[in-house]
Amino acid sequence: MKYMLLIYNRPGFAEELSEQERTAVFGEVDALMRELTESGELVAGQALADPSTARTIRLRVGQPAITDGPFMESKEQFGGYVTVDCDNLERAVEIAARWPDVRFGGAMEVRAVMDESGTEL
Amino acid sequence: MTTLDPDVGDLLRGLAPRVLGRLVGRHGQFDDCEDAVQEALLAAAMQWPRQGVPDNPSAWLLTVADRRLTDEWRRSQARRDREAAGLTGEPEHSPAEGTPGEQPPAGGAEDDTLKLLFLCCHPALSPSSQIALTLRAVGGLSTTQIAQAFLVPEATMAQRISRAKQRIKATGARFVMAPASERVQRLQAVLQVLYLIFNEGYTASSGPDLLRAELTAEAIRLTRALHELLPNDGEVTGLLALMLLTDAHRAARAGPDGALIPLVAQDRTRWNRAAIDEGIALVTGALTRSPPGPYQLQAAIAAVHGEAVRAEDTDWPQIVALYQLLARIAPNPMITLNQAVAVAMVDGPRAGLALLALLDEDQRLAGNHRLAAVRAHLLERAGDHPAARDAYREATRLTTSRPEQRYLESQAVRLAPAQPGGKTMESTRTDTLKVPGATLYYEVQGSGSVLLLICGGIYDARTYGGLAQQLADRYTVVAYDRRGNSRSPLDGPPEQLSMTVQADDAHRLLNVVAGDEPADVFGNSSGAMIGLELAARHPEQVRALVAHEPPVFEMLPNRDYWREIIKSVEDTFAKEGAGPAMQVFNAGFGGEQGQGGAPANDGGAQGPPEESGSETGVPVDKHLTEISKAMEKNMEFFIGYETPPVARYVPDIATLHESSARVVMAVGEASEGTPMYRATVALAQQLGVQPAVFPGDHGGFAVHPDAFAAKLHDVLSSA
Repeated sequence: MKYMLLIYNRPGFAEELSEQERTAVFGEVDALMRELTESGELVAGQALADPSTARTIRLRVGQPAITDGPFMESKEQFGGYVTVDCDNLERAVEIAARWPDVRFGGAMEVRAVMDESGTEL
Repeated sequence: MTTLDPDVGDLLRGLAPRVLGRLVGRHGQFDDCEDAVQEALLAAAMQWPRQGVPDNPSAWLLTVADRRLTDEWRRSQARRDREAAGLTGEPEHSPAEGTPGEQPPAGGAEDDTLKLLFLCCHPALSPSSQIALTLRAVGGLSTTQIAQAFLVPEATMAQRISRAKQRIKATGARFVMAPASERVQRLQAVLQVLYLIFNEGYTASSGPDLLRAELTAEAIRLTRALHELLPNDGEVTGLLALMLLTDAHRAARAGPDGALIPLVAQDRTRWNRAAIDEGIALVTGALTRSPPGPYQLQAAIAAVHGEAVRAEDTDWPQIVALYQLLARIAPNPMITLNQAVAVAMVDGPRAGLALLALLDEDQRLAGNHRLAAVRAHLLERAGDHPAARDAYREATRLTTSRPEQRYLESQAVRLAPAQPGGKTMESTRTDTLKVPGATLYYEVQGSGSVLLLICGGIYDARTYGGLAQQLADRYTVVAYDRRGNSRSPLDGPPEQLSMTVQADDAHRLLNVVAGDEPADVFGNSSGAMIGLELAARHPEQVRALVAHEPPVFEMLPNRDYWREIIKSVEDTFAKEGAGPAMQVFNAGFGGEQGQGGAPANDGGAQGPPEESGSETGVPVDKHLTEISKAMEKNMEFFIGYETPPVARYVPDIATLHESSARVVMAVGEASEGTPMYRATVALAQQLGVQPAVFPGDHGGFAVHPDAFAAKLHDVLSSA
């Protein structure tokens, strides 16, 4: 089963950390990614630039209108994702729970990825 | 699964396990030998099609693999020597000398294949690793092919295979025949892996991914090979029969558009008869020779289906009996689920539903869409369509398979309640009305008291299509295109349109469609303003008005800001045209931040529908986008001739206070903070009424027509 782990973090949380703490947190993510690579569970992953660099497109008066900034104004912002191919939801949740962003006011969302296959009905 | 000559591909894959078996028998070191065989297979795939297949292909492969292995060991030995040069300690012995304790294999190539299967399906490995390793070492597929079939990056698959091999090494598992005491259990693991490979391919066979679908053929090939090695094993035979009988449906199980077709509805003439006959013969033979196991029983059930030329010929009592037997020897909730379907065919849907009730507490099925899907099917057969629809919806939400989701959704839609009168669509009458300076186009549908819908912004009657359809069973719903827009042409050149003229158009239309009877009126955005003006001027025509988010900027504390914006819109339109003027207007909404307004979390005279497109991930409602496309040509008229008077409009509050018409101010629950929301709330305060809260945002009527219609009817019928 493939799951996408959506990483929501508190923008700017990294700046509040000391150099040493920051290095430790980045090291944690590196170690997790290495572990997932070695276990053959990592499918893909990307980190996103700061939400202040986002452009949001919405329909306004019948036209797509572009505004600066993220889609939703909220405390946590979508910061990146990791897709894993693992045995079950429990394993995906276990991986997500170890993401350091959770400890710094963020949240991880685990979502099953839709499959193009279908069982016989 | 390969681009090379299919004959060579088949030959190579058939030889792969034998060559690997011989090599491991000779040297031990399964992991290195496996790599060497892969390289030999690759070399053969390149050379044989050009140079011809050698006389003894097996010996050729063995020689090449052997050479690669020795080369590799020499290289790594040299590396270790270099590394050890400055260090203490003895260099490790060369594995080429043979690993102590590793016995040369007894028996022939057949035993080697079996030993390989046991090794690849070692219980220490996870199912995904067992599958990957089996396909590579026994199936002779490359890592690239396996990765493509399982839709993961090649690096991921390579890592999975290399980890599996490390794990085998670490557990000390050896390339020897499993002891007789473990043989049954280990064989079960092998069958499970082959069955998983088959399912990966079979479930994908409706999709566009042929590489994935060919896993089915690979699983059948490997199971056939296993059956040749163990012809008297009932479960091996049963699995082969099950695969053949299932794969026989391949051509019939999905429509040309990829939509899934249930077994009972499949075109049975498209079933593969030869495969069915072979499957039936295999399972019949197995059942007469050995005690029945789970694969044989599942194959037997598939055989009963295969024997029925038409779905109605199916021997359901026989299938129920087989499921009962299966549930006894291999109890499992998925079996109970299928059993319920069969029981329902014999004893009726309520009996099937009773069986399903036993599964409600089963944690193994928690969150599984199959339970809801089967329940939906049985509820429908029992005639309980509302409950069936809900269950189909639940199943639609729970599935992670797109084809299944599509099928389940179509079932839910099929059971949607028909409109009263037995029609699912009310027919619409269209007409035109000549008014001073223009011709109005309007649409009428349904029956009951008149409800006039007035659109705003750049929209026309079409915008209310969904809403009108929802209300046509209770009202005569009338919608029109405002003059200058879409199908309501002006007699002369465009000029700024006053609210007086706009309200007069609505008044004249009501004269025609409602006569002397007062009507209900709903208006959105600038259409809500037209409604307010109408209620002030012609209270005798309006029973109740629901004014949804009129952008009465004059009611806002920052009205000066908006006056400047509108002035700038007018100037820009005069100098640069509609596009730039629209940009100024749009920028006005974004720029309102820090202008004493609430944060502009959206804006626009027709704001974006929220939470739409959650299924597609596109945050724009498709229906609304389509309509808007048609509305594009209204844009110039709207920004140039309608926006300025609309944005400067001040309702006649004193007259509205005294009006006999009931005036309801309405806001979208998702609009909070927008200027339209704040303006509406401010006007409601002036009128001394509490705003009603409607589903969605500024465009909620288009995104949630059903919920919106319910709320509108609720508001109109209260008081």
